[in-house]
Amino acid sequence: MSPPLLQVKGLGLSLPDMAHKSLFAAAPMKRIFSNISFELQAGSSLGVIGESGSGKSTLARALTLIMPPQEGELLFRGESVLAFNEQQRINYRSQLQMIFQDPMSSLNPRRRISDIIAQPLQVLGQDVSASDRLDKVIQLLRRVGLDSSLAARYPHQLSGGQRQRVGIARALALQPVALIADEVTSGLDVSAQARIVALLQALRREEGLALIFISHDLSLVRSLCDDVLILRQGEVMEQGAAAQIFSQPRHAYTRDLMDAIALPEPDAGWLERGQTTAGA
Amino acid sequence: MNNSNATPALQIRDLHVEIRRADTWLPILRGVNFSVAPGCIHALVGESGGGKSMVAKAVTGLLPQAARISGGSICIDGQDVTHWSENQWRTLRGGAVSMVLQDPMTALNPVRRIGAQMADVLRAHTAGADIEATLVGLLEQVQLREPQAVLKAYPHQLSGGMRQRVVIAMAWACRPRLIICDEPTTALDVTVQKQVLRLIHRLAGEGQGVLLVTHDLGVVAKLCRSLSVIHAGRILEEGSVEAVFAQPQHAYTQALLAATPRFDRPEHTLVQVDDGLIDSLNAQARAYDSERRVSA
Amino acid sequence: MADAKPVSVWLRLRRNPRVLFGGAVCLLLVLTALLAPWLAPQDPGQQELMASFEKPLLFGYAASDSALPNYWLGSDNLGRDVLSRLIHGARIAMLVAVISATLAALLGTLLGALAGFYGGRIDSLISRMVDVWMSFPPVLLSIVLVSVLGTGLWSVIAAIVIVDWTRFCRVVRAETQAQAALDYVVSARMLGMRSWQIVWHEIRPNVMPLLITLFTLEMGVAIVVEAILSFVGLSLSSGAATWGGMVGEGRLYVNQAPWLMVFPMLLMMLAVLGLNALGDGLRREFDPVMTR
Repeated sequence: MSPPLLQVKGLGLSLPDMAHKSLFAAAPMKRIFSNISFELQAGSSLGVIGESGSGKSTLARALTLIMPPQEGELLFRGESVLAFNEQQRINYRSQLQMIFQDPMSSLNPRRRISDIIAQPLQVLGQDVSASDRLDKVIQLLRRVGLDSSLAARYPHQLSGGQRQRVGIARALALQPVALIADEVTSGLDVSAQARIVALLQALRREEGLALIFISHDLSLVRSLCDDVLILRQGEVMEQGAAAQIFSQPRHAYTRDLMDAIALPEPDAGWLERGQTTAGA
Repeated sequence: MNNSNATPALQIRDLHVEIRRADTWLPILRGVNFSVAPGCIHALVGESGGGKSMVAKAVTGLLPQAARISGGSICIDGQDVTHWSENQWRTLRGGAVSMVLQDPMTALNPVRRIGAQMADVLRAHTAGADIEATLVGLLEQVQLREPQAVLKAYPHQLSGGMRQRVVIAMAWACRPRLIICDEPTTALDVTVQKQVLRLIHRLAGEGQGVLLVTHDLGVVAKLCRSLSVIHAGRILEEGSVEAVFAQPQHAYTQALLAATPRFDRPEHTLVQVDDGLIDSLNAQARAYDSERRVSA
Repeated sequence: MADAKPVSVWLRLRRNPRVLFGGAVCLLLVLTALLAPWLAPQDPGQQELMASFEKPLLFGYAASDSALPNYWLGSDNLGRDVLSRLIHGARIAMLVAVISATLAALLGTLLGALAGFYGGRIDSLISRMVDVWMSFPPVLLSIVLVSVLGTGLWSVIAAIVIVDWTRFCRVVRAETQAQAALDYVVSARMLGMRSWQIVWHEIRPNVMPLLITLFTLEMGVAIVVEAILSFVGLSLSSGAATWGGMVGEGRLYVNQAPWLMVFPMLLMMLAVLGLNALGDGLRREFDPVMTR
């Protein structure tokens, strides 16, 4: 049996805490997340749920080596990623692509959409000609449900949902085996959100892509993901199969999160139903 | 949607707003009608570009320079404010009408202490003697522990939820007749969101009218008594929350509900809003515009 | 990168009032500077003591002696033609403006980009340098520099560059820092792009609009600084015609011959206004993000 796509064991990351830095000493290290372990099989999906300060975005950056973790192991197809040389690292990154939260800042505002999507192809020099690249760009735009006429436009001329889909198209350019979606639906309208979710589901179905879906929206995670990891202040509160956790939550924090979900159904008693862990 | 005979906190009749683009006037709001009764939380639901933010701005006299009211009326607590000047609006804002905005970080001045900012609001609209005691009382009402410490703090020293509570306290400070909440919980964590919604609900019970502008149908269902659905500046459906959620009449409302993720139905695929529906709604809006031009 | 068709670019530029005004002024100045020897009706250094303090013909005054050449903008105390001196002065001004602005831009942008992108120690070092540099009063610093380096065109240029590179450095550093924090840079890094590639390909287009404006601003500053240095006699050798020098000399005779001071000042104002307008207009046109 082949090893899981991604294996994370005891991953931990700390960053210098600039807020508490005194004048002449080095800044004290602040733990962002610690002791995170999970497995991602090829083609499966993992939902990472957390609120602000949970470390979920930093986890995504750690997995893609933007911020290398200090502790723990990270294995890709059984091989240790943290020990990779330059070439292996580039290869790894092209296999595990990230889609960012804010499409306004993740797309270079002064580049055309076609250049933005073609950039991975250009940089990781898959020696193709300019016209081949353009064909690929149009193909990718169609894949995410965008019209090819958008290729010549600039990001500010597109809507939020369209920009987010460009981000997905760019992530697909190098034909990765896994996508990490970092809060890709926050800030989007319900209709744009539904479109992105449908797109991600289609990509999983048709191309067997594995997905790590980071979000604070439990409803989306429940509909998209096989497994769930719940983070709070950098620690894992609960993890396991989504179906199991959501039907029988063990941790109080999970119950609070579920309590706080506002279903689109009138319910006079919802507001008064209490919670167990302290809030803000 | 008047449940009582009291003067509505807000009454909008046939409101038309246009915005200047290049050499023409583009319609943004096309005959918007709804009212907010005192003590009632009314939602204005729609997606971005639908016009709900414009309504919020019109109701507080904060329409951009390039926009103008080209028809209809706005009445706050019975007073017609449609063509008021900036000076007149200044007497109303913070006092009879206040706003709770999405991002508390931009609503609060980052370089002034909380106490100083809140005191400003009070002094502008009330002649109260003991400001400090009033402020402490307000912060206690929004359930902030250690109100004295909060008054002395700067905005960045508080968490997002605490900042939003401060903003709400400032909005309620002068017992306004109408409070506009524009996506008040979107930027907050989900557990904090519930607490803030609870707070809004409790405070609204004291008799203010609340207009909640949002795209989140879940929040609307839990918090509001009635709603209006807006698209392309037109109100497509309105009614009590029970009625509309149980049996949405308009295709757009149905589409929004079908596209909203449901935790209790994970296997239910989110239905994307049909492009055809949006196109036909836009076409109807344009038809409305041409009819209006002809009859004008 | 696909470019807009040239035709539409020219059309857009023609319609923008700032670009029209600024562009016209700049074009005038550049042409004047280039064609000075042919444009100037007389030799700017030619002294004609019999014809001193001639009133400007352009304003309807009569010449004191019909045998004299035409002094369209009058003559100074040594009988030199003001118009010719202004034209030659334009040459000096433009030369100084373009060269100083270019060198200051190169130096300041390079250091600013390094500081903004890499942060850490490099940033600390460069920022401290900028802070110390900017704590010297700029005009005094240029005066000291020129006194040390001796008079001459290159001394003036060096003085301006050495003092004013910090203007570019600060702005470019801030903008680079802001851009470097955005996700599109993270995305580029993830592709394995090298730092200099990221700065050149990704960040540079976002900093260019600012640079254009700064460049024209700097040209304006250079013209004024050169004038100040001339005013105190530290610019070129005192024979050459410079706008600042003319203002300095004209000051002595302001009651008898006000035109000696007024014309060079007006010309300087026009030049600086025109440059600023051009810079602002160009930025608005070429920045795809700017909405009007």
